[in-house]
Amino acid sequence: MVDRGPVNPLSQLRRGVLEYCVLSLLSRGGQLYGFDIVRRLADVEALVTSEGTIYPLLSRLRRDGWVTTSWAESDSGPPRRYYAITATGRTALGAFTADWDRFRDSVDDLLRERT
Amino acid sequence: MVTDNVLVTRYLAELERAAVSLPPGRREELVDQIRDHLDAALAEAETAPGDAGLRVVLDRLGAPDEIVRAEIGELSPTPPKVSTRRELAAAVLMTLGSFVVPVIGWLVGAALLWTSSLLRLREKILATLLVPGGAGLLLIVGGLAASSCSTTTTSANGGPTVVVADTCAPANVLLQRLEIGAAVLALIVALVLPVVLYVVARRRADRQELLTR
Repeated sequence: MVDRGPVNPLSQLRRGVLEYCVLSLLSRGGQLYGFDIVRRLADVEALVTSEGTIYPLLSRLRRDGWVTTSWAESDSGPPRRYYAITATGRTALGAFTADWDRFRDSVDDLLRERT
Repeated sequence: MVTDNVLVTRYLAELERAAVSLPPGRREELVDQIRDHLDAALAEAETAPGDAGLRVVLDRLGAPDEIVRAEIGELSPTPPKVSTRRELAAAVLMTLGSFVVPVIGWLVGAALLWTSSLLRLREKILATLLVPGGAGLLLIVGGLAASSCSTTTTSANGGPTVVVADTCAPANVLLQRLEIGAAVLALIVALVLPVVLYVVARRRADRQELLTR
């Protein structure tokens, strides 16, 4: 991957889409533990550099009202936090997905000299 | 429990240190989230991972500094508002100001308008030409024109007064109506155009704010 130092375009792209990837996981998976979200994202190549940075993102999504959190009792230790998407979150995800499709297609066309 | 391990306790201690600049509620929550994560990572491994295994988990988690930096990034304040004070002042000066301080009020407003970064050149030119001096100047010029006309009369000794020359009477009614119409139109434009430009500038500012969110 091209690395142009601190102004890496890919890392800026990642930052922009990561929250919607999280929302997408939650919209399909019902409720997920933080750990599950992190691991599923890590499975997608080149999306997450440092797993720990997902947690601030999850907290911000909760502050924005796109995600809610609850506690689940766990028999093997302290209660664990899990996350779920809200109606507002679904709306935001829908809007982004539409924008992303158009954006991705346009960039693809340009990069592959189809325009 | 995960905190039994020295690598982990050291990592969490480093995280707490790095997180000292965060609001207290958020700091605790972040450390809890990370501890939770480590618990889950260990539970996932079938056998208790050795130090090597733990190091991998901690590496994937990332440096505590980086995590705190991400948190600070998410706490960033609302993006700056794009100010339209200049355009508002220009609109006020070019309309009301043209009455209150004739000519100069309008000039100052026009100068402000020209320094605006939210309006295009052709909009600035338009505002300057329509109408120079603003509504205030229009009324002054109109008033002067009206009061400078004169009606000259003479009367022969004892005879009826006869109008000799009258510059107040219009050439014909149609021309008079056109003059009045043009004057009213110019007045309306002089009052409305600066306000319209302010609204245009405000909309552009709003769009800029949205894009930098």
